[in-house]
Amino acid sequence: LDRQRYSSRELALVELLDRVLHKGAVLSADITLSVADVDLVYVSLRALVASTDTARVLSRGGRSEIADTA
Amino acid sequence: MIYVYALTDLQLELEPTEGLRDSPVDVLRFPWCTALVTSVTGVPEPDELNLKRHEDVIERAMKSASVIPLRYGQTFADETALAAVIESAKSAVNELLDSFRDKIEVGVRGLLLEDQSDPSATNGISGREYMQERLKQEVARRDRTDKHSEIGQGVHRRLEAIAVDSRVSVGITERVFMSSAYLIDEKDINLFLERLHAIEEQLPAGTQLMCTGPWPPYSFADIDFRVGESHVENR
Repeated sequence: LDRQRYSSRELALVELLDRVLHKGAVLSADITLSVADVDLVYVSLRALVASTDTARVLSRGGRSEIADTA
Repeated sequence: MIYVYALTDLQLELEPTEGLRDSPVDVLRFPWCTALVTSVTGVPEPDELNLKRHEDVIERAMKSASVIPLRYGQTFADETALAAVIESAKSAVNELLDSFRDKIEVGVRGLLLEDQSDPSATNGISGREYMQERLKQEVARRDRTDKHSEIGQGVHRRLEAIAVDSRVSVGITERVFMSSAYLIDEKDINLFLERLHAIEEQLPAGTQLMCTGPWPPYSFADIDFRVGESHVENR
């Protein structure tokens, strides 16, 4: 079991990527989401969230107060 | 070429703001909405800085207006091309802007704190015994997934009661048993968080909720206005 501690920045970035790249209204057929590096980063970060056992993000006051509590 | 961040209602008051590649964000005003745009010479790469700028521009707009956040990466040849799309989706744009007024999105993920699989030793056993062990592990895995999906549905039912709208997926991976988003009236955020923390205290050992927000309502702007569609498609 990987018990590495991950930073709040990484967790916030996962949530950001999930929304900005995969959600939101679509107006144009010319969406550019096919840059391989970004896709790989996204997959990597999702894996990170799936494996973290220490992270906890609190929404009190918004994302600026994201904190680890392990 | 123009890059579009979001559509907003006419209440928008936006101070000078830097967008992608440190370029200024312009406000295009149409009769029933505005569009936040930046002039670009090519399609902007979705690197971390640009993604954060996209989000930052939308969050600034949310301070004064109802906002429809757009997915990253949408460009138009010029203002005329954008106006044509907006015109074709006028009623849907207005409907969404009304539904998002004074609302925020909150995300919740349900996490398992440890890998709960049972990696029994399979060295030195027969092929039949190996297959039986694999079957046993698979059955146990499905039971765990079902159990955690039920937990996720239970969490969601209690949270959605406070929300105006919601989206949920359960049983996503072995370690993420739920992912959900809630559209909440701004005045109800404390009530929502109190409910969330009450739920957390009752969760089974080894599980945890991760809450993020407030976000622009990305998860609820799930409408496709692409030109060429014969209708506005709600996916």
